[in-house]
Amino acid sequence: MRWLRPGLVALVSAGLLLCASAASAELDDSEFLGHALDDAIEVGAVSHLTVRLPDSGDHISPSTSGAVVEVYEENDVICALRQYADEDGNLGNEETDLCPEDEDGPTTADVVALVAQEFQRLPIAAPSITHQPDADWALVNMDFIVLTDAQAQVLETTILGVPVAVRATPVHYAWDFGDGATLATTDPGSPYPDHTVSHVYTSSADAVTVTLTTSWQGELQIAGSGSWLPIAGMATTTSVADPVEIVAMDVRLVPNS
Amino acid sequence: MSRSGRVLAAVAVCAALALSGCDGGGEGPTADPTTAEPTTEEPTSEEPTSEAPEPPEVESPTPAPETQTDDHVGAIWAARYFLDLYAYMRATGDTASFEAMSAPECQFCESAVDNAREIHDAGGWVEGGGLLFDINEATVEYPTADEPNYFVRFTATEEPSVIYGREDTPEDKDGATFDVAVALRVVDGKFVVYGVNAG
Repeated sequence: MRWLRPGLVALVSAGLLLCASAASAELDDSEFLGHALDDAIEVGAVSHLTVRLPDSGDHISPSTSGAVVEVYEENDVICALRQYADEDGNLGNEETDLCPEDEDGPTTADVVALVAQEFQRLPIAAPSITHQPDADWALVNMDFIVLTDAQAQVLETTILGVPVAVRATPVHYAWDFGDGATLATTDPGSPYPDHTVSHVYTSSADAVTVTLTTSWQGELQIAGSGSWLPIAGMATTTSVADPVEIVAMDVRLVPNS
Repeated sequence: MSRSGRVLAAVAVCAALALSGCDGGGEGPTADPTTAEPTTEEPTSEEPTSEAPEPPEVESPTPAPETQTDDHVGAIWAARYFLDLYAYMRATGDTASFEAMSAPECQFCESAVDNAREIHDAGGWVEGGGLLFDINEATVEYPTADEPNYFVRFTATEEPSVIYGREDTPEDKDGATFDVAVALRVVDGKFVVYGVNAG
């Protein structure tokens, strides 16, 4: 927080957050724009679950790969893989329990790419789709509510022959309502009456199929212990709901008899 | 639409415009800006009278289409749009769009609005001071169950700026570089900023 003047730091640390904006007029302009700041937000923190602009399931930006390589090197991932394999007797260098450089072995960047590929191949269970009304038909011009039960999953797999746990966390939902309408959101949705994700069909249809593409971020834990490490890129799953008929309700006024 | 399709469409539009021009006899001259009524106002007479600086005209920024999407790409572009609005607000005193994108919880936002108002209420304005960052280098954390905000982090370069009107002589301000974090989430289909911090 080197850009803050001691005076503001003192104010904030004294818990006088409300005074901070009032004090901003006195702040020196060499500070960050001379304004109060929202100190609860961490600056420069690199979370394990961080993505960049080009990151998707298909493409991982070089800067994300580079950042993950750094984390892996800080955590001696290759060393951990090799050491574990040593204890297991299957892989690695049995002559020493240190972690010598192995010229023939994979580089950290190789491991990052390998883990990313493995993550995208993992059989992450596609979440189920719930829609309301919960029937095989729905009405034109009425809210068609959708939600999903996507939750974090932990899967077991092996990287270079070493058992690892992979935690997949759903972060993004892309809905295709089958009539050309799509919706992208981080909200898994809620049931009626607190629903947050819905669609209105404007014309009748014999059968529309609602599809949900869920994006998952991944973390890796070697040999069931230690810290969770990032996985570059995202994996996706596709969920498909049963077809729904969209019905136009004809309203006919009939005379009272 | 294919390229030839676009050309055809353009021809069709031109033809339609030409035709509509033909039948508008009774409406008076309005449509064609190149032959609009001659304006005789000549601002040149005002120019030499004063050396006092005038605020430059600044166009209102427009959000990138990506800001419509609730994902990490949208969050980065929304953060960029927010910073564009910041510079626009300080240049023009028009705080409406910036405030519309600011949550009440955002102390930085409130402080920035107060500061822009203070400058403009005193008859001043700000030139320069744009905040730039490389969108490809920005990092994003997705919201979680505990934290509803996206966190967009980047290194921003503040352009040098001049603040007019608050003091007798314009205040020159050097540019600077900051590590910035912006917290934002989608509310009613639009990104809203819940906080800004810098270090």
